[in-house]
Amino acid sequence: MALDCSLLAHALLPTQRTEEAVGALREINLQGHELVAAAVLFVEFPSLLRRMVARGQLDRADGEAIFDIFRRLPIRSVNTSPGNLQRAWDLSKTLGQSDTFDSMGYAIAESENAAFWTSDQRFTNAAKTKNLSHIRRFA
Amino acid sequence: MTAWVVGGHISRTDVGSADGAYQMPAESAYGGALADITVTDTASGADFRRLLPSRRRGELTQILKELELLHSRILARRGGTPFTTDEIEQEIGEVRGDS
Repeated sequence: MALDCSLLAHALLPTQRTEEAVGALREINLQGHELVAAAVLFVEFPSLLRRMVARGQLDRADGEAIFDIFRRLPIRSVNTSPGNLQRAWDLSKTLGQSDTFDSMGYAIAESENAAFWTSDQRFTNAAKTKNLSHIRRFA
Repeated sequence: MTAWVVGGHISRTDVGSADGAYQMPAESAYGGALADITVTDTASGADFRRLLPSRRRGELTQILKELELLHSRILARRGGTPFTTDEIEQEIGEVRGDS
């Protein structure tokens, strides 16, 4: 399974928690699938955490605890390659995305022969219109 | 068959074969970390399925327990009042520098 930042946000952040997203992690644990993610996730999620602490949306101690949990999640970081970089670039244009974060996550999932699990509704909706497969959304 | 797995490449010579499925031997040259990874044969068209080593699966179980405790503790501090879910896509967009 390839995870993105939105799914982790809904699973790990108490202010954003949804049972579906936490259930996704439980399902992964039950099935024992390997977890992968685009390397940028390891900048994106801690940045989101820092932002929430800085804004006072999350206590400092809670931020530390969540970061510690995130740090220990068994997610393998996948670096970009010229091939998946091109795929992400093309996808972002096809889907009308203003950045390549989600497209890169999907390109990494494709290159790893993994399903892409996300909570991002906008990306999922755009992907549906182009019949992209192997995407599962957790609200 | 060559497959990319956690930590490096394994090749057909590294694994035992049984009906098209290849399994890392219990004690491999890679040590225990990869010992129970099963890789099905991509050449035969079977699913290429990678599993977490059991040690790492145990870690995820523990992490999920800790997460439940943490969220319960935070919720209890708020007197049991659940949070309102924010628009996380907007928050992430701001982290990414979207206007």
